[in-house]
Amino acid sequence: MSRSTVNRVLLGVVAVLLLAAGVLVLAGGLDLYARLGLDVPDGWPLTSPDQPVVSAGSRTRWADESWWWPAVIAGLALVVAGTAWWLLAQLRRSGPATIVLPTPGASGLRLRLRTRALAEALETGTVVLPEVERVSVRLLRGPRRQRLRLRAVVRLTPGGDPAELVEHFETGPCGNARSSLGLADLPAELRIRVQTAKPAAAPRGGGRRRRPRVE
Amino acid sequence: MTGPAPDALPAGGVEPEPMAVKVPRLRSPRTVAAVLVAVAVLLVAAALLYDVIAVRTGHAARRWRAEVADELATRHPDDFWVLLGAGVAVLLGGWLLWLALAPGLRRWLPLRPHGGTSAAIDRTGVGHLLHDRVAGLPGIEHLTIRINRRRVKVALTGPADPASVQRQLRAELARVTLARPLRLDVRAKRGRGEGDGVPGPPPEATKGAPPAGQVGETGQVGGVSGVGQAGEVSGVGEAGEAGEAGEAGKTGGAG
Repeated sequence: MSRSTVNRVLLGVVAVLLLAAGVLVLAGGLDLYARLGLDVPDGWPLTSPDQPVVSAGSRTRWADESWWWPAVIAGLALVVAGTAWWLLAQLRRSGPATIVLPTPGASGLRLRLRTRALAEALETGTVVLPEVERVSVRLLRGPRRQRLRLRAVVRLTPGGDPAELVEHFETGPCGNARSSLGLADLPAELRIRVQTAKPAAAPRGGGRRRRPRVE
Repeated sequence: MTGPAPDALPAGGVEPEPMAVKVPRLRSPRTVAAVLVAVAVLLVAAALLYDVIAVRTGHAARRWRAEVADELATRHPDDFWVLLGAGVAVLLGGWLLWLALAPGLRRWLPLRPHGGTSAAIDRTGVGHLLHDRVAGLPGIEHLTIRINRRRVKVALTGPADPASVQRQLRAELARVTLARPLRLDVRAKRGRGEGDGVPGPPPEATKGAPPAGQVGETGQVGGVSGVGQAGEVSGVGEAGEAGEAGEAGKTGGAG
């Protein structure tokens, strides 16, 4: 599972727990069950506003059972370990540090290439393309194991042609990397920004919004 | 996301719109939200775990935990602070659920892929391209470009011919090769110096179905130049009214 999927699933779990707790308390506090004439099953929490949110009785209901405290401690420890792992997963580098290159004809030789060097080579190959002002390349792990993909953030000069950049990048630096590394495919993802010609033109134009309005 | 079919329809007699291409939308990894939520959950769970273990090993419970347990046991759900807390929990949960489900990265518009390379362009960058292409044309005094994920709204003031401006903008948009072409909406108004405005199309023309919007768009260009010439002939008093009508039409159409 990719990091994006893990993040979204866990965010969804936390969101549903918060929503459920909030809706339960709101429904009890505003006495919605009685007002709407809803029948609640036995044991439903917070059916009327006249009971405490968490009474001492319900908090210590199982406190005398022998399994209660070990279960609480184990559950909390699981939550702590899980969130610590989740947090560390955000800080981890998202791509491999090195990749293994195929060495046909040379047995017993393992060739490793630092992905940082590959990214730098791609950057120097891209920044000389026409209309490119700045570029930064990162290599990421692909959707399946052992697959590499790259992401490049490119800033074009004013009036630059994005379609031409995509074509030049595909045939130029990206194609070179593919053939020199012996990779069958190297999926690339470009993020293109374009500079404006006259930054001073914005005030004269009466406050043209730099950020597009989202509707 | 609605189907790209309306964008793929050729505009009635003007020039064929570029075809829309199905490209998967970029999805944000939601790293920042994940870090914040993980830190919050970690802090609460670690504090609880520490305190529970402390109590089980014979120490006294921390005061905060005793206070929280006491408040929960004495306050009722119709208490103001309990209701406020529940409302905040519902809002926060809804927002986190939105973050979990929505794709995010709304500022990036995907371009047509080329081979193994997929690309996306900054929405502001498209605005810069359009602005730079048109800003130098003669007769444009004031130019406003707004872009959302589906359409570009251009409002310009000045004696320039709106049809030629629209042609330029259309050519620039075609050069960008967006996977899902943006609809172009040009509204022109005469400069303040001449004192006359041009009424926009009736709101229904742009609010209707996409093909009707296309018709309204081309009709608007014709109307703009025609009424503009009439405005030059007519008197000043009438021109002021026309300006107000133009403003009203513009806001009505944009809403």
